[in-house]
Amino acid sequence: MEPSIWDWIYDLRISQMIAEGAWQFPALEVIHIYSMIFLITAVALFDLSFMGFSVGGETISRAAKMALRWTWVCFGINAVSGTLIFMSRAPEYAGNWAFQLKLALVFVGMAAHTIILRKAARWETAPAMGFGSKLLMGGISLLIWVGVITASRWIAYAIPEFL
Amino acid sequence: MRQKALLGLMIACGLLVVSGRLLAHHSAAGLFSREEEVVLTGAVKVWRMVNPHPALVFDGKTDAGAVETWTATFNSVADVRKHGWTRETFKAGDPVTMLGNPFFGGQKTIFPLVVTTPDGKKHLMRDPEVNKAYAEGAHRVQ
Repeated sequence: MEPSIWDWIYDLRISQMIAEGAWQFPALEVIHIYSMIFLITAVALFDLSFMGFSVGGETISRAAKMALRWTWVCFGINAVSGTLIFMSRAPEYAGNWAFQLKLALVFVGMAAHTIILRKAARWETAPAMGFGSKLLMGGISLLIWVGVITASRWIAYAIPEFL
Repeated sequence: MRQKALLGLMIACGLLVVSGRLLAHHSAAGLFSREEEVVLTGAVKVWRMVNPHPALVFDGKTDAGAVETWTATFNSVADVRKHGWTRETFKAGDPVTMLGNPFFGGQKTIFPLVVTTPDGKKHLMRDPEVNKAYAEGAHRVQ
Protein backbone atom coordinates (compact mmCIF):
# COMPACT_ATOMS: atom_id res chain seq x y z
CA MET A 1 0.00 0.00 0.00
CA GLU A 2 1.32 3.45 -0.96
CA PRO A 3 2.10 5.71 2.01
CA SER A 4 -0.43 8.53 2.30
CA ILE A 5 0.21 12.19 3.09
CA TRP A 6 -0.77 11.37 6.69
CA ASP A 7 2.00 8.73 6.86
CA TRP A 8 4.44 11.32 5.52
CA ILE A 9 3.40 13.79 8.25
CA TYR A 10 3.65 11.04 10.91
CA ASP A 11 7.24 10.29 9.82
CA LEU A 12 8.45 13.91 10.05
CA ARG A 13 11.16 14.53 12.64
CA ILE A 14 8.99 16.99 14.59
CA SER A 15 6.09 14.51 14.63
CA GLN A 16 8.38 11.79 16.02
CA MET A 17 9.62 14.14 18.74
CA ILE A 18 6.04 14.79 19.89
CA ALA A 19 4.96 11.16 19.50
CA GLU A 20 7.88 9.70 21.47
CA GLY A 21 9.17 12.55 23.65
CA ALA A 22 8.81 12.50 27.42
CA TRP A 23 7.48 16.07 27.82
CA GLN A 24 6.43 17.40 24.41
CA PHE A 25 3.07 15.62 24.17
CA PRO A 26 1.92 16.34 27.75
CA ALA A 27 3.02 19.99 27.42
CA LEU A 28 1.11 20.40 24.17
CA GLU A 29 -1.91 18.65 25.65
CA VAL A 30 -1.98 21.09 28.60
CA ILE A 31 -1.61 24.12 26.30
CA HIS A 32 -4.31 22.74 23.99
CA ILE A 33 -6.78 22.09 26.80
CA TYR A 34 -6.20 25.44 28.54
CA SER A 35 -6.48 27.46 25.32
CA MET A 36 -9.72 25.61 24.52
CA ILE A 37 -11.07 26.43 28.00
CA PHE A 38 -10.16 30.14 27.63
CA LEU A 39 -11.58 30.23 24.10
CA ILE A 40 -14.91 28.73 25.13
CA THR A 41 -15.09 30.88 28.27
CA ALA A 42 -14.66 34.02 26.15
CA VAL A 43 -17.30 32.81 23.70
CA ALA A 44 -19.72 31.81 26.46
CA LEU A 45 -19.34 35.10 28.36
CA PHE A 46 -20.23 37.02 25.22
CA ASP A 47 -23.11 34.69 24.35
CA LEU A 48 -24.57 35.13 27.83
CA SER A 49 -24.26 38.94 27.57
CA PHE A 50 -25.86 38.81 24.13
CA MET A 51 -28.73 36.74 25.50
CA GLY A 52 -29.30 39.31 28.24
CA PHE A 53 -27.52 37.58 31.12
CA SER A 54 -24.63 40.02 31.43
CA VAL A 55 -22.59 39.65 34.63
CA GLY A 56 -21.20 43.19 34.93
CA GLY A 57 -23.77 45.23 33.03
CA GLU A 58 -21.39 45.51 30.08
CA THR A 59 -22.84 46.78 26.78
CA ILE A 60 -22.95 44.20 23.99
CA SER A 61 -20.58 46.20 21.79
CA ARG A 62 -17.93 46.41 24.53
CA ALA A 63 -18.36 42.73 25.40
CA ALA A 64 -18.04 41.89 21.69
CA LYS A 65 -14.81 43.88 21.32
CA MET A 66 -13.23 42.08 24.25
CA ALA A 67 -14.53 38.65 23.21
CA LEU A 68 -13.26 39.07 19.65
CA ARG A 69 -9.71 39.74 20.85
CA TRP A 70 -9.67 36.89 23.38
CA THR A 71 -11.34 34.47 21.00
CA TRP A 72 -8.76 34.88 18.23
CA VAL A 73 -5.73 34.83 20.58
CA CYS A 74 -6.97 31.62 22.22
CA PHE A 75 -7.96 30.10 18.87
CA GLY A 76 -4.46 30.77 17.46
CA ILE A 77 -2.76 29.02 20.40
CA ASN A 78 -5.29 26.20 20.26
CA ALA A 79 -4.89 25.67 16.51
CA VAL A 80 -1.07 25.54 16.67
CA SER A 81 -0.97 23.12 19.63
CA GLY A 82 -3.72 21.01 18.05
CA THR A 83 -1.88 20.79 14.73
CA LEU A 84 1.27 19.58 16.48
CA ILE A 85 -0.68 16.92 18.42
CA PHE A 86 -2.37 15.87 15.15
CA MET A 87 1.03 15.44 13.46
CA SER A 88 2.17 12.95 16.09
CA ARG A 89 -0.48 10.49 14.92
CA ALA A 90 -1.81 11.89 11.69
CA PRO A 91 -3.01 8.64 10.00
CA GLU A 92 -5.36 7.76 12.86
CA TYR A 93 -6.58 11.29 13.61
CA ALA A 94 -7.32 11.95 9.93
CA GLY A 95 -9.66 8.95 9.76
CA ASN A 96 -11.28 9.51 13.16
CA TRP A 97 -14.92 10.57 12.78
CA ALA A 98 -14.99 12.40 16.14
CA PHE A 99 -11.93 14.42 15.12
CA GLN A 100 -13.54 15.30 11.77
CA LEU A 101 -16.75 16.33 13.57
CA LYS A 102 -14.74 18.48 16.01
CA LEU A 103 -12.99 20.32 13.16
CA ALA A 104 -16.31 20.94 11.40
CA LEU A 105 -17.90 22.27 14.61
CA VAL A 106 -14.90 24.52 15.37
CA PHE A 107 -15.10 25.94 11.83
CA VAL A 108 -18.84 26.60 12.10
CA GLY A 109 -18.47 27.97 15.66
CA MET A 110 -15.65 30.37 14.78
CA ALA A 111 -17.35 31.55 11.56
CA ALA A 112 -20.69 32.13 13.28
CA HIS A 113 -19.09 33.85 16.24
CA THR A 114 -16.96 36.17 14.13
CA ILE A 115 -20.06 37.26 12.21
CA ILE A 116 -22.06 37.77 15.43
CA LEU A 117 -19.24 39.68 17.12
CA ARG A 118 -18.70 41.98 14.14
CA LYS A 119 -22.41 42.78 13.89
CA ALA A 120 -23.03 42.99 17.63
CA ALA A 121 -22.75 46.80 17.81
CA ARG A 122 -25.36 47.22 15.05
CA TRP A 123 -27.76 44.78 16.70
CA GLU A 124 -27.40 46.58 20.01
CA THR A 125 -29.13 49.65 18.62
CA ALA A 126 -31.54 47.78 16.36
CA PRO A 127 -34.78 47.28 18.26
CA ALA A 128 -35.89 44.79 15.60
CA MET A 129 -33.92 41.99 17.18
CA GLY A 130 -36.06 40.62 19.95
CA PHE A 131 -35.12 38.70 23.06
CA GLY A 132 -36.19 35.41 21.46
CA SER A 133 -33.89 35.85 18.48
CA LYS A 134 -30.94 36.71 20.71
CA LEU A 135 -31.71 33.75 22.94
CA LEU A 136 -31.81 31.46 19.92
CA MET A 137 -28.55 32.75 18.41
CA GLY A 138 -26.67 32.66 21.70
CA GLY A 139 -28.10 29.24 22.51
CA ILE A 140 -27.04 27.76 19.17
CA SER A 141 -23.53 29.18 19.62
CA LEU A 142 -23.26 27.66 23.11
CA LEU A 143 -24.53 24.31 21.81
CA ILE A 144 -21.91 24.29 19.03
CA TRP A 145 -19.12 24.73 21.60
CA VAL A 146 -20.56 22.08 23.90
CA GLY A 147 -20.43 19.88 20.79
CA VAL A 148 -16.76 20.78 20.28
CA ILE A 149 -15.92 19.69 23.83
CA THR A 150 -17.90 16.44 23.47
CA ALA A 151 -16.35 15.59 20.09
CA SER A 152 -12.87 16.38 21.48
CA ARG A 153 -13.32 13.92 24.32
CA TRP A 154 -14.87 11.35 21.98
CA ILE A 155 -11.76 11.21 19.77
CA ALA A 156 -10.21 8.80 22.27
CA TYR A 157 -13.16 6.43 22.04
CA ALA A 158 -13.95 6.66 18.34
CA ILE A 159 -11.39 3.97 17.54
CA PRO A 160 -10.08 1.49 20.11
CA GLU A 161 -6.35 2.01 19.56
CA PHE A 162 -6.66 5.53 20.96
CA LEU A 163 -7.42 4.33 24.47
CA MET B 1 -11.29 46.02 36.56
CA ARG B 2 -13.76 44.22 34.34
CA GLN B 3 -10.89 42.72 32.31
CA LYS B 4 -9.18 41.50 35.50
CA ALA B 5 -12.40 39.88 36.68
CA LEU B 6 -12.82 38.17 33.32
CA LEU B 7 -9.25 36.89 33.38
CA GLY B 8 -9.69 35.63 36.95
CA LEU B 9 -12.88 33.81 36.00
CA MET B 10 -11.20 32.17 33.00
CA ILE B 11 -8.24 30.98 35.09
CA ALA B 12 -10.56 29.64 37.81
CA CYS B 13 -12.63 27.72 35.22
CA GLY B 14 -9.45 26.36 33.67
CA LEU B 15 -8.03 25.15 36.97
CA LEU B 16 -11.28 23.47 37.92
CA VAL B 17 -11.67 21.65 34.63
CA VAL B 18 -8.07 20.54 34.21
CA SER B 19 -7.19 19.57 37.79
CA GLY B 20 -8.92 16.20 37.57
CA ARG B 21 -7.32 15.41 34.25
CA LEU B 22 -3.83 16.24 35.48
CA LEU B 23 -4.19 14.01 38.53
CA ALA B 24 -5.23 10.99 36.54
CA HIS B 25 -5.30 10.50 32.80
CA HIS B 26 -7.17 7.25 33.33
CA SER B 27 -6.53 3.87 34.82
CA ALA B 28 -6.74 0.76 32.68
CA ALA B 29 -8.14 -1.14 35.67
CA GLY B 30 -11.81 -0.68 34.76
CA LEU B 31 -11.30 -1.43 31.10
CA PHE B 32 -10.21 -5.06 31.06
CA SER B 33 -10.69 -8.25 33.02
CA ARG B 34 -7.74 -9.58 35.05
CA GLU B 35 -9.56 -12.90 35.30
CA GLU B 36 -9.72 -13.44 31.57
CA GLU B 37 -6.77 -14.16 29.32
CA VAL B 38 -6.36 -14.64 25.62
CA VAL B 39 -3.43 -15.82 23.50
CA LEU B 40 -3.20 -14.45 19.98
CA THR B 41 -0.67 -15.33 17.31
CA GLY B 42 -0.55 -13.46 14.07
CA ALA B 43 0.89 -10.82 11.80
CA VAL B 44 1.46 -7.14 12.53
CA LYS B 45 -0.60 -4.60 10.59
CA VAL B 46 0.40 -1.27 12.18
CA TRP B 47 2.77 -0.32 15.00
CA ARG B 48 2.46 3.11 16.55
CA MET B 49 5.02 4.07 19.16
CA VAL B 50 3.15 7.19 20.22
CA ASN B 51 1.98 9.16 23.24
CA PRO B 52 -0.13 8.75 25.26
CA HIS B 53 -0.36 4.99 24.59
CA PRO B 54 1.62 3.00 22.02
CA ALA B 55 -0.55 0.60 20.01
CA LEU B 56 0.01 -2.49 17.91
CA VAL B 57 -2.72 -3.49 15.46
CA PHE B 58 -2.43 -7.09 14.28
CA ASP B 59 -4.37 -9.98 12.78
CA GLY B 60 -4.45 -12.46 15.62
CA LYS B 61 -5.42 -16.13 15.49
CA THR B 62 -7.12 -17.38 18.63
CA ASP B 63 -6.85 -20.92 20.02
CA ALA B 64 -10.22 -21.61 18.39
CA GLY B 65 -8.64 -20.80 15.02
CA ALA B 66 -10.50 -17.59 14.24
CA VAL B 67 -8.45 -14.74 12.74
CA GLU B 68 -9.52 -11.29 13.97
CA THR B 69 -7.98 -7.84 13.93
CA TRP B 70 -6.91 -6.90 17.44
CA THR B 71 -5.27 -3.86 18.99
CA ALA B 72 -2.75 -4.18 21.79
CA THR B 73 -2.56 -1.02 23.86
CA PHE B 74 0.50 -0.37 26.04
CA ASN B 75 1.12 1.77 29.12
CA SER B 76 3.44 4.43 27.72
CA VAL B 77 6.29 5.16 25.34
CA ALA B 78 8.71 5.21 28.29
CA ASP B 79 7.46 1.77 29.31
CA VAL B 80 7.97 0.08 25.92
CA ARG B 81 11.31 1.83 25.52
CA LYS B 82 12.52 -0.06 28.62
CA HIS B 83 12.22 -3.19 26.45
CA GLY B 84 14.42 -1.60 23.81
CA TRP B 85 11.49 -1.08 21.45
CA THR B 86 11.59 1.63 18.79
CA ARG B 87 9.44 2.69 15.82
CA GLU B 88 11.20 -0.02 13.84
CA THR B 89 10.58 -2.93 16.25
CA PHE B 90 7.46 -4.12 14.41
CA LYS B 91 6.87 -3.93 10.67
CA ALA B 92 3.76 -4.90 8.71
CA GLY B 93 3.67 -8.68 8.28
CA ASP B 94 6.03 -9.44 11.21
CA PRO B 95 4.99 -12.40 13.39
CA VAL B 96 3.86 -11.59 16.91
CA THR B 97 2.43 -13.58 19.80
CA MET B 98 0.56 -11.96 22.61
CA LEU B 99 -0.80 -13.14 25.93
CA GLY B 100 -2.97 -10.59 27.68
CA ASN B 101 -6.25 -9.51 29.21
CA PRO B 102 -9.01 -8.64 26.76
CA PHE B 103 -11.08 -5.51 27.27
CA PHE B 104 -14.68 -5.69 28.41
CA GLY B 105 -17.62 -5.60 26.04
CA GLY B 106 -16.25 -7.87 23.34
CA GLN B 107 -13.92 -5.15 22.14
CA LYS B 108 -10.96 -6.58 20.20
CA THR B 109 -8.42 -4.82 22.39
CA ILE B 110 -5.85 -6.53 24.56
CA PHE B 111 -3.77 -5.23 27.48
CA PRO B 112 -0.64 -7.37 27.04
CA LEU B 113 0.99 -9.44 29.77
CA VAL B 114 3.62 -11.20 27.62
CA VAL B 115 4.63 -10.21 24.09
CA THR B 116 6.85 -12.29 21.81
CA THR B 117 8.54 -9.91 19.38
CA PRO B 118 9.60 -10.84 15.82
CA ASP B 119 13.13 -11.67 17.06
CA GLY B 120 11.60 -14.42 19.25
CA LYS B 121 12.23 -12.60 22.54
CA LYS B 122 9.55 -12.71 25.26
CA HIS B 123 8.75 -9.42 27.01
CA LEU B 124 6.90 -9.19 30.32
CA MET B 125 4.87 -6.00 30.07
CA ARG B 126 3.34 -5.35 33.49
CA ASP B 127 4.49 -4.24 36.93
CA PRO B 128 7.28 -6.27 38.62
CA GLU B 129 4.94 -8.35 40.78
CA VAL B 130 2.73 -9.49 37.88
CA ASN B 131 5.79 -9.99 35.67
CA LYS B 132 7.40 -12.24 38.28
CA ALA B 133 4.26 -14.38 38.50
CA TYR B 134 4.07 -14.71 34.73
CA ALA B 135 7.80 -15.46 34.44
CA GLU B 136 7.09 -18.37 36.77
CA GLY B 137 4.29 -19.57 34.51
CA ALA B 138 1.22 -18.17 36.24
CA HIS B 139 -0.83 -18.14 33.03
CA ARG B 140 -4.45 -19.09 33.17
CA VAL B 141 -4.24 -19.91 29.47
CA GLN B 142 -1.66 -22.63 28.78
